[in-house]
Amino acid sequence: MDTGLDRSRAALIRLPLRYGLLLVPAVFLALFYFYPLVSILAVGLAPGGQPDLTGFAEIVTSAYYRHTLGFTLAQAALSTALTLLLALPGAYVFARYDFQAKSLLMALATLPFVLPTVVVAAAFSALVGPRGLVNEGLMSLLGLESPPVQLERTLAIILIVHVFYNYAVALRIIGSYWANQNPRMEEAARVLGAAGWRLWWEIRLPILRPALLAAGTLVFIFTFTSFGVVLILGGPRFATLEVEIYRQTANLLNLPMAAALSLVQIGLMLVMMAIYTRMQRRTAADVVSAASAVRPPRSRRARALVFGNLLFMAVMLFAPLLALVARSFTAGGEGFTTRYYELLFANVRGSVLFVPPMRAVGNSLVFALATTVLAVALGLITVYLLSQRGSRWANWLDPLFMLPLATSAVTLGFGYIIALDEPPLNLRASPVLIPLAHTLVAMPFVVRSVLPAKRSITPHLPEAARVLGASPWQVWRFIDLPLISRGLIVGAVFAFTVSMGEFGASLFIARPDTPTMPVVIFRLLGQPGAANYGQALAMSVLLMVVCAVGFILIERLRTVGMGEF
Amino acid sequence: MLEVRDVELSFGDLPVLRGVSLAAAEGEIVCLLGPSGCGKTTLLRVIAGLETPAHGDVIFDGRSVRGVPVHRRGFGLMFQDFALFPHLDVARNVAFGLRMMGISAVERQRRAQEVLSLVGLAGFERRDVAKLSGGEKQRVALARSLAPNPRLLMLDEPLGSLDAALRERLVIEIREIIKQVGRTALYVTHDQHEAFAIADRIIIMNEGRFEQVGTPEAVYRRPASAFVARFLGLNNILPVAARAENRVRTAVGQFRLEVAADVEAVLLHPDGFQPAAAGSPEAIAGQVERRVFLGDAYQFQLRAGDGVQLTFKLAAQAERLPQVGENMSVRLLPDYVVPLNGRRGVKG
Repeated sequence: MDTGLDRSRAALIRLPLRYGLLLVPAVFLALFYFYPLVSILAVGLAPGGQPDLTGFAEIVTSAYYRHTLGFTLAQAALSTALTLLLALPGAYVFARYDFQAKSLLMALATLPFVLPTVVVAAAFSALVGPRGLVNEGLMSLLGLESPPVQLERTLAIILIVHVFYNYAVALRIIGSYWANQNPRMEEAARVLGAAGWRLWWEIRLPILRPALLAAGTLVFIFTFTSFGVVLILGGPRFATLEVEIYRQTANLLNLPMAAALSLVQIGLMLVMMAIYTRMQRRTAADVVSAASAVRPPRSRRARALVFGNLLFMAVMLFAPLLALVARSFTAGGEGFTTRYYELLFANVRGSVLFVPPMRAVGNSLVFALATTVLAVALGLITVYLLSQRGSRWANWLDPLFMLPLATSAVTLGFGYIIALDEPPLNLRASPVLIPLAHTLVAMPFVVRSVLPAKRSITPHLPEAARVLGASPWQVWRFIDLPLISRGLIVGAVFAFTVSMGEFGASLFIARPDTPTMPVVIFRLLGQPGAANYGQALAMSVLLMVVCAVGFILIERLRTVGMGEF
Repeated sequence: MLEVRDVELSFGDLPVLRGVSLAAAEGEIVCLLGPSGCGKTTLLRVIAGLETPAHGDVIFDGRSVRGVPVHRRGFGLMFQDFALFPHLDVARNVAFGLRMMGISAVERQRRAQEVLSLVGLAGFERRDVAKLSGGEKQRVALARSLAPNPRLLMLDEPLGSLDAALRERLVIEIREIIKQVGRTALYVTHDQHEAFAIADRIIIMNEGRFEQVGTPEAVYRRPASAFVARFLGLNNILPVAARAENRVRTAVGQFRLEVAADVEAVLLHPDGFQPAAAGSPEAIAGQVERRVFLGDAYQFQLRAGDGVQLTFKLAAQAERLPQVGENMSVRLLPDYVVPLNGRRGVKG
């Protein structure tokens, strides 16, 4: 019998259950994010159990660490400037002109965003590396003995790859802001006598300032935390903070120093994220909807501008990826062969790996599936936590759950190996560490994909369903779920793709007998010989295909105006 | 003096200007009036140099401006949405054109102050343009286009985004300001009341052509075509059934015209209606379908012979006015029967 008493008793039971469920992501975050962070803090500030700041003193006093910090900042600043400079004409083209396949091209330009750093590093090595397509072509063409293009282990290659990665980020932010600006402002300036560089300097750049600052800050953050690119392509001469943290841990076993560097890194990241949040808010506030000024390029100059930019985008995007595919079949220079793909199945004696490389594919898939399940479950609960109307919690919980996004993967991996390898939580021997770390990285993507859809469900929808006789479970099943399913799938694919390509944290915590694909590619790239090189490229192609498929799914499912990442 | 000669322009396959020519005298305010999409804004943009015509020329003070880039033409253009620069304050917006001309900072400041007080915004120099009201933005935009002392001032629906009461007040102010500086001005609008208030001469445009050119009074009192009449809200248009030397016959009776040949339709101008005695020779009889009290007048809709609907106003103080459903007889003052020439006879 359903008496009032029974009902209130049921509510009493349901209440803790509900809050208990909501606690799960909080506990997860506490255990697998804040606990490792606190451990870094402990090791960094008090290595021997006693407060000891010699690590920090060394960072400040030693020319070596000052140089590392200086290089990290300088390469990020250079990469940012270069990216903005190259993306600016592209943004103009996308904001002002209409041309065929425009949205497809914009989507394609975003592809690098989901490509793992190891794949991109392998791709650029296949294009302009000593054994790359360009060098091989030039050598046979000019009859040279040594590769004429020496880009590997230079600052130039690091900058080029950073532009490759961040061009679309800048293009999207600046382009969409520009498209929303009133085109009459430029015309007004021209009528008043401005032309040429004065139009750029006095009108366009000042008007774009908020977008340039937001894009610049974001690109700076991405390149500041660059790890795989610098580690693989930069060689021993170059080290960002991230690379240095890895070297201190893996090569020198100097954990206190790595912890101190991590703390510097975390501190700088928090400052930059705070700046970015402010910048981004300003771009959102300044949007003035204007009559669409988009038109086909009519004059010869306009056509040349559009064509030139699209050509640049196509070459920058496809040249390395096509080179990667081509070289994966021709790495040894003896013509077309599928040998390197076949070698992936073999357990070659004396290899750097303990297992056949193909085993890594299985490992990565299992880890990615586990990550997807975990990230979707936790992300979904988080979304419900954050979208509660009139909740005072939501305002400060939101940034809290986004924090892992602001923490570099290397810091996270380092925190895991110093925090989770001893009681009370000893998971070092367990393969679950990898999906746990990947879930932390992937969960914000799930939340960001689902939250807008969940927030668009007005309270009237479930109320109407309840009045029509739906139980709470039915409300969720027949109202909420269909409305958020698209975002949920996008989030799941994001989680899967992020996990497949994750490199920084995995390099720290992957056990030798269960390596992931990016780790295997990294190890193979570091070895001499055409066989290792060819296998690295072959596996990169496989990983690229997986990520590209994920990317296509995301782009097809993503609704217009959904969160930018 | 401005002269536009036979300008043609298409956007893709869509013809926007189909050969238009005009001449504006020194200090004259010419208004381009027409529905949206008629090409009036495009004509301004051609003159400003923002669009390049496929054919035709723009001549200023006897010299063609073809090939002169936008920023060297020395014309002023004020945009409908004002297009104020958000990163500059009021004074810097106003002084922008002067800065482009390389004028010294001191002189710029003096001129900006001068123009700002002309538009009634003295003391607004350091204000942020984003925080101004619609009317204030409009004044800043006007001041900005006036500051460099342009040879020609063009205004593209400058009051379009403001509310009606503010529009009514500002249009008079704008006319006074333009007359005070003595510039030749081209003013684009789709609002006839705005056009009547500001213009010395009105050009009515339709589908890339000029339908009629004339003083506001002439255009209103004697629209040249059915399009012009309808656009001005004058809807008592009757097809001509038969014509004699100086008479035309319509569904509601015969009317005297000076020249009746070629006349395809006539407008019974709503301002010329008067109550008439039933059965008098010139009376138009019908039944009152609608009577709307407007304060100083009543608007009537009369169903006359052959199902023709006529609308007109009668002063509220007229003796007894019939109710809805009652019969009514009216007559038309002689000068208020206007011959309409369809597409022909464009110039008025």
